Amino acid sequence: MDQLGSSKTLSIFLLAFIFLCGCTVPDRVNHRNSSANANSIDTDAAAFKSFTSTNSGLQSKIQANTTAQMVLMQQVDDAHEKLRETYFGYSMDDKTWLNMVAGMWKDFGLATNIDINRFEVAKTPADLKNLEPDISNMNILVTNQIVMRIRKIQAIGKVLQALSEGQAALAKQAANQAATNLATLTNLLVNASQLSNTNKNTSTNNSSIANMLLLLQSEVIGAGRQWSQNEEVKSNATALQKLILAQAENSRDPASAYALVAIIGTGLGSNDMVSLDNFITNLQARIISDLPTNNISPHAGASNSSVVMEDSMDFKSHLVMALTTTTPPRSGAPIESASPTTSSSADNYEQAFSNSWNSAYQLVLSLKNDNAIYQKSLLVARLSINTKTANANAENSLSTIAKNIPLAAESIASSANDLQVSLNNFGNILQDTNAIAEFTGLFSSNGGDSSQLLPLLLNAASMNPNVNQFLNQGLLQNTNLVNQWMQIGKDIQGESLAAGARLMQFFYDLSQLQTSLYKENARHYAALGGIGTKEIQRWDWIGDVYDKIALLYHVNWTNQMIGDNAYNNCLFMDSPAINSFQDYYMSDVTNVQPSAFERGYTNVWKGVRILPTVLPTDQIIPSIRILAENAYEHQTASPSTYDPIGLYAQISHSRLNQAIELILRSDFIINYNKQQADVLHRLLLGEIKDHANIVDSIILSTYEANIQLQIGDSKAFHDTGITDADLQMALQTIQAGFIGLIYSKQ
Amino acid sequence: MRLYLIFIGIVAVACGGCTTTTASRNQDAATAQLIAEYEAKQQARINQLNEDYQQVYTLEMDQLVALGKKQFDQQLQLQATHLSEQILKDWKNQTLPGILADSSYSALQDDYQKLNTIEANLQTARQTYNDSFSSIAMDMKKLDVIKSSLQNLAITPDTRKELEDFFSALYSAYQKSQKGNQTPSGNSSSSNK
Repeated sequence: MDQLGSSKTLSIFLLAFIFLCGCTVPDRVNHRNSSANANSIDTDAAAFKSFTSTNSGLQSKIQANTTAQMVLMQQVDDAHEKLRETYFGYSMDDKTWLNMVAGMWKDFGLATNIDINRFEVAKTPADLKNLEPDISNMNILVTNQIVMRIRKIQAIGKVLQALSEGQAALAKQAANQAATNLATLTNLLVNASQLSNTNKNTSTNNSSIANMLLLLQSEVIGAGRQWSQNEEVKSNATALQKLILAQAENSRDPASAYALVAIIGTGLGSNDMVSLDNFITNLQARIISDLPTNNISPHAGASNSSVVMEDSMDFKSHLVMALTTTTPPRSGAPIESASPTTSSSADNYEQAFSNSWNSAYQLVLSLKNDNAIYQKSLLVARLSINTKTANANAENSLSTIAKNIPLAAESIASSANDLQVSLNNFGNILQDTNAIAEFTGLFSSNGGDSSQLLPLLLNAASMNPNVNQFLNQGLLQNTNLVNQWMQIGKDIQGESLAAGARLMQFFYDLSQLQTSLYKENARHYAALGGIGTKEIQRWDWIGDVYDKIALLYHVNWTNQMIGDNAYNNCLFMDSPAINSFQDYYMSDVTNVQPSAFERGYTNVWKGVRILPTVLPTDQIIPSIRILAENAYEHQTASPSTYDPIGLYAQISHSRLNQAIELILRSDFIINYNKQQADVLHRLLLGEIKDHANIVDSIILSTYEANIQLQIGDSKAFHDTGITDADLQMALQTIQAGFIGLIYSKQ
Repeated sequence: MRLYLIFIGIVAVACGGCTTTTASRNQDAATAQLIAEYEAKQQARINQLNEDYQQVYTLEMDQLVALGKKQFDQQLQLQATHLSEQILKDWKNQTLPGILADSSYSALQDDYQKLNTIEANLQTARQTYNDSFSSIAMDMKKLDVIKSSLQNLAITPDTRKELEDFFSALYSAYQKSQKGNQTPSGNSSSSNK
């Protein structure tokens, strides 16, 4: 730049400084530099950086501590299991077969459905005959309850899956939005006039998915909270359940924890089912009442959603649809994987969420119909009362939804709110720095090139010949001063660019945190879905094992031992049934039988070789002893003399085998049920703790990013300002200008 | 020249003669407040975590001790059962006083061993938990120092002192500028750090 140009540039800066007095002025020239302040803020910035870097390993340390807690809990659970196992073997001494299965029903929590004491005191065949319909009904009840439980867990699992898909969609959307916003911000920083619009865009960055998820989460937590406040539930909750609930209250996102606490337990009893029913009924009522159907599936296929989402639902047709489309219970099929990666193959998260949500919605609603069928089934008199209570609760809840939802939403959205606070701060910061960007605009209307604006100001300055002369004549020869003024201009430009860079860094950090939060939520829901899957697998196994127990408890009364079925479920037989087996034996003519008779087959049906009578009301150990003795006698006796066709050896062995199998299956169910309940509780507790830890870290990171930005701005402010050298230069400039003016007038 | 200096001084003070501005003070105050919130949240989180950790330890160890006692009691019962079965299988010999005494002594030694095993397991559980536990702590004093420093920067400076400093600097600059104008090739730089 030639001397004339330089001096004119200089004049622009001077004019600009005066012009901007009282207005927003760059930090470079709006205050005096203080080395003390600059050192102080430098120390603060370094100290905060040191503080955050020192604590960067905190999250993993907390997770390690959580793992240690889980290890200790597992030790306690293992000790419990060992005691239980030993106790089971030890306690068979004074138990009847009926006592054993009644204990299992009690463990399932079914003592409230029937008078278990009747099974425990029964001794005679007459007692047993009186109880037989109840035994049969209890077996049906167990089987039905397992089926119902699995269906309900599947429904909740679907809701979790929908939440996971939705969070994954949000994560993807947030990542895309972050990239767009970053580009927009970059553009806006050089085009300050649009900054105010940026604020609006940032603060109103809501999507249909976000709204939908927030509502859905509110519904889940609302139903869960209502469940947890149920007095009956409270009184029946185990200590560990209470601990989990307390943890859930502290969790950043307790919705799904509530859902799973409701489903995890050792019981199939009415209390457990009422808890689960209450939860689902409330969820259904809230979903039907509150969720806007038009927002649910913006992209879902019309064939499914149009039917499912109708408010005036035909329950019969819905039942048909639900029964034909839902996974059959007890199929062993777990909840579909809630991992966001599996559904992302179509690269359309929103679509995946819609599909997942439709499926969850359908399954949850189908339970109403299941309940309707269930009411007609056997032994549901008590359950139906409970269901009615649940429905009454649901109706009651409808009237209080308006009060509950904001409360629930406030709680569930706490993490989102915290993030939103940061976003608002971000908006404020954008607003505050508007001035910087405006000043940047003053110097660079086109991305930092000052050449376009300078001519305008030069023209403005040249309109006053005295000023022009004052500057041109006085400063023409002083290139050092001109360079110093130019340096200030560059400092100011650098200042605004650095402010923009800090903002962009903050925005980038925040976007990353927002994406991390969504990803963490998706992971969390997937993990909870995994726990739900384990819960289904648990009941699937128990159901399979119990099926055989129910068959083995079949009592063979008079004349039932006919044909090839004689060896199936032959443990419990009364005397007439045993005699009928002898008739069957005699009538079963084979090739070896005639020759056996020829050799004098006469002694088989005598003494210890007669099949013993064993009934469920008998003591277990004496039954085993007598069955073992009988099997031993048949096994070691001469086949030619006593058992030419081997049927007695076979049936006596089968009966002993079935007795042992009954014990082992009961042992398995009683212990596996409790062991899995412990495992699932631990998994759930650990997941709640981990999730709270990770989300808290994310939220605190938003604070850290905000503080880094604020300290960065303060540091920039205090590092800059008018120095003593600037003052000297200003005085030199003015003196030189006056000298030049005086010379020019001579 | 005096009027000229006063004029320059007033303009300069109006333009930026103070070391802080209202905006900067507000900014530093807001940052101090933000740090206070951050500190409170971190502290609450740490307290909660440590309390939770201690609570779990107390609860679970109490249970483990109780289960250990139950386990020992159960083992005594089982031991009696096994001994009685042993006597039942060979009552003629097993009921001889010497053999019975030996059986009792052997059972007692077995009890000691089981007791020691249970105690050792409890000790191992305590040790494992303590070894794996890292007390969550943060040096909050660092944050307090930063907060205090920012609060100082947020205080409106004494106007009289600021003016005195400014005029002192201005006078010093004036003297130097006189020299500078005499030697136009002065080497002062206006660039901030």
